[in-house]
Amino acid sequence: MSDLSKRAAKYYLVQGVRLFIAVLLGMTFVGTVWILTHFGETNYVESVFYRIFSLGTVFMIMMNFMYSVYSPGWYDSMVLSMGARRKDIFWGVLIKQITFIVCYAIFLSLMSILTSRPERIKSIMMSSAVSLFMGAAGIIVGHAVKKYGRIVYHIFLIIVLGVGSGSLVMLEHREHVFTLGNATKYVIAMAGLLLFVIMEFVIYRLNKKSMVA
Amino acid sequence: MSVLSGKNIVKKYGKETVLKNVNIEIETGKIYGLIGRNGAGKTTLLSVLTAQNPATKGEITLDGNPVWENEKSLSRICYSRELSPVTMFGPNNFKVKDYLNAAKAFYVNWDGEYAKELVKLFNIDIKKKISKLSKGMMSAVTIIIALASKAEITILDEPVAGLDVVAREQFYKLIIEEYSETGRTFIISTHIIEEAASLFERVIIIDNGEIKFQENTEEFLARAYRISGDADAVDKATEGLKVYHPESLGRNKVVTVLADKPDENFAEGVQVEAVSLQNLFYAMCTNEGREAM
Repeated sequence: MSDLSKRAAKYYLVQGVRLFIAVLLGMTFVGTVWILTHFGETNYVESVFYRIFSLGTVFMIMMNFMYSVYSPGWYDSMVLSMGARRKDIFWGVLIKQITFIVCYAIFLSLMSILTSRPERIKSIMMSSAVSLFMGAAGIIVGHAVKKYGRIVYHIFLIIVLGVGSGSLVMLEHREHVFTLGNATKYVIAMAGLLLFVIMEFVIYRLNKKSMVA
Repeated sequence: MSVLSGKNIVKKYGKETVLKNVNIEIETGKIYGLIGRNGAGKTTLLSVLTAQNPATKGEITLDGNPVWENEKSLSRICYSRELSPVTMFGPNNFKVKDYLNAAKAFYVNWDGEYAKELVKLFNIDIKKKISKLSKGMMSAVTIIIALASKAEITILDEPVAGLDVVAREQFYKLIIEEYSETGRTFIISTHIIEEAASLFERVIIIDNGEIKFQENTEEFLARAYRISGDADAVDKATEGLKVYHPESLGRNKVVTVLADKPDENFAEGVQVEAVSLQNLFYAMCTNEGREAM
């Protein structure tokens, strides 16, 4: 590993930790508000922790996606302008995302154990895999935004909202396209990981000719 | 002496050719001035030379080694770009300290103490967001990064844009100090030619994606003259010379010429004056028939 690669890896590792701390502070704020709001209610501790856990898994996915969208046209562009190589940026972004997801997964897992709900760890693993996939998707969207402008981002949001709303409607009416039984979480996690790997190949190619915005 | 060399560089954005077969050689240990009008291709050339953008065609090397994705070459170069208060997602919410931290991480010879001194000198609040800085302050941040990088080849793109006269003088003084102490190479792209002209040991003039001149500044200016007088006398005196920006007022005529070599022996009946770099550049650009953009 070259000196520049090491410096890039360290820089992105710190960025991953910073992102985790920022999200953690946000979660702490929301959690405090919920605790104050529900204080005194029956089982309020469990209720609040359940809410924090649910929000936490969504946050892990959404924040990783959002930051990844910004990456090619903003963060990575700055790093590229300071003499980093494209391959250092590729690996650096991966390090940043994995650092964020691992820190977050450890935090949520600890919360699950402390609240005597270790079965939630399966959900955390699934969310981690989906977060990796969404992070990769975010980078691809970010490259497209850099090339074609913000319209790409708006189109992507419309698609996500459409698919999300459709899924919610289907869930509401119990209209499942396919049922996976107990294997649902594993299948989703495996699909997420598989898509993540495929997308990383695409990102590697996109990154090879990236320019300072 | 090392050489940053670009050979036959072509850069296209879609159908538009921004750099047309550019050949350039930057010898280390000199201060270069890169001059060109808006849209001439200055920033693109600097981006391509420093591997921040890929060339469509051509080869860029530093001492014979490719610059593209080459740690050895990249670690010797700093191209401090103009900062933008907006990004494609909205305001640039990075703080000054974010830029300085990134610079510290990636410039191998980063001088943190010097950076602190410069921050103090230019009175920059490092906790401020880039989007909240004035144009001059943004320029100061790019100057701080460039100087504190201590890179062997340091490139500044419009470093004095928006700076007040005091800050500009401080910048020129810093460049001279740094150059005399370290012998670093500076390439300075600027529109404020008159002020900076005395800094430049060599001047590169780029126009419409082509390098027009690449020469020692003193030698270049020694060949340039402003000749005025009776129109016939001026025409006779400048016969066979490249004439720029002819202006007539009645029977009088004024032209700027660039001789092949210094020549004091113009025909009688005309007045011969030296030309400043800015006036020469203006005459050359005006001659091309393209007025203010």
